Amino acid sequence: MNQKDHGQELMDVLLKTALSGYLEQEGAKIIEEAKENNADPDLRISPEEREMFYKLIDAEARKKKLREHRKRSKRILNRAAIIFLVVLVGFGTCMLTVDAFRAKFLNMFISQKGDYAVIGVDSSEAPDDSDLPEWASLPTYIPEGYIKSSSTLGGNMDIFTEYTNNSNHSIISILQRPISQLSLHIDTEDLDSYEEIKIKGRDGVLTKKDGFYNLTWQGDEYFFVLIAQLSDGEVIKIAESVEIK
Amino acid sequence: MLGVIMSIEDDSDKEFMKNIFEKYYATMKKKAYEVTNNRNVVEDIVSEAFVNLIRHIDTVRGLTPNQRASYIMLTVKNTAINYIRQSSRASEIVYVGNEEDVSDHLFDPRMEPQFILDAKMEYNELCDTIRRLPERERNLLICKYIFEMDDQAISRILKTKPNNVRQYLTRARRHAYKIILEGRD
Repeated sequence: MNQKDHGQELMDVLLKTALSGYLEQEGAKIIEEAKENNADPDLRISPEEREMFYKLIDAEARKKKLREHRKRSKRILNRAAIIFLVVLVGFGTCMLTVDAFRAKFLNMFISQKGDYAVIGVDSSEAPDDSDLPEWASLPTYIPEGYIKSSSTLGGNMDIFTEYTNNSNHSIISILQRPISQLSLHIDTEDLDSYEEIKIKGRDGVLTKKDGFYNLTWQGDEYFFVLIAQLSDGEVIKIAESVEIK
Repeated sequence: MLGVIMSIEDDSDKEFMKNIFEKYYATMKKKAYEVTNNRNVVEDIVSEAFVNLIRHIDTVRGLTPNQRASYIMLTVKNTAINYIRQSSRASEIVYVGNEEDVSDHLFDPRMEPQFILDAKMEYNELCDTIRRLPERERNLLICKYIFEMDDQAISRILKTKPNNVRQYLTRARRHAYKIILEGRD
């Protein structure tokens, strides 16, 4: 700061001090004068004047409150609009660039169930099999109430398919594994039952443990493992319906 | 909850303004009459002054009692002056000055810091320098530096464009500095 600026700043301080002091002095005089005026019968406030001015003050205070409320609402709305815009842009960007987000979002729906609505991922829609290889072998028979909930191709060429019953949340799992990949181990510990059977003329083993049937059988190129909490007849019927490709 | 707070603030504002009414109404009426010399318009002027005071209630509340009294009387006086201007159709710009930025010409050799600090002046003398300013300039400086009004609000009082306020302020400030420095010579 140079001398000129410093001098200017000092003058500003002096000016403000002078103005403030002047106002204080004048204000003191006005307060004294007001006391005298209030005692003057000619200037005394009439009841009509008081009523009129009190109404005016009430009305203006109300208007001021409304103005402030409007200002505040406008500020809030502006902020909400900005947030909405940011969310919209973010959402739009995700929709356009992220496949997983798009798929998840497009699966969202609102379904009416009786007199209530369910909002969530549509699990009644069967997964698309188009990503599975041609050699994927799936059953043509599945008990009523079950729908295909997932079907994935693993890194070691396993195809794992699940069918879910939404009413009791039970699952039928079917694994298809190339024989060339790995050997398959059957858990025979603490079994409730063990039975060697034929599925379409091929050797298979049906075991039961903790209420779950585990049916393992072998095709020309693949092992199949079917696990389900169903009757043994239903489990065999599903296995028989698998069309080996 | 917000509604409750607003309602309390509102009631508090009303009580504050009713208190001002009881204290200053008679004096405001008297001042309005002194300016207009017309008893028929006194009530309207005081009403309008009250509306202005309520609009700037936060400023009014923030002042000391003495400054508040000055603010109230300044408001009623300005309202009365504006009333006269409007009624006489003389509400055009009153001040006609050059539009150059005169802030560069504010500097006076006597404004050197050492000169200012060396000069002796009593507080009362300093306050008296403000009385030597023309009323219009005095009120302009008070509005700007004490009541901290923005140019828009000052332009409404002066009945001029906000852009011109800066010029008027510069001129008033220069004049005030000159008077203060003369008092310190």
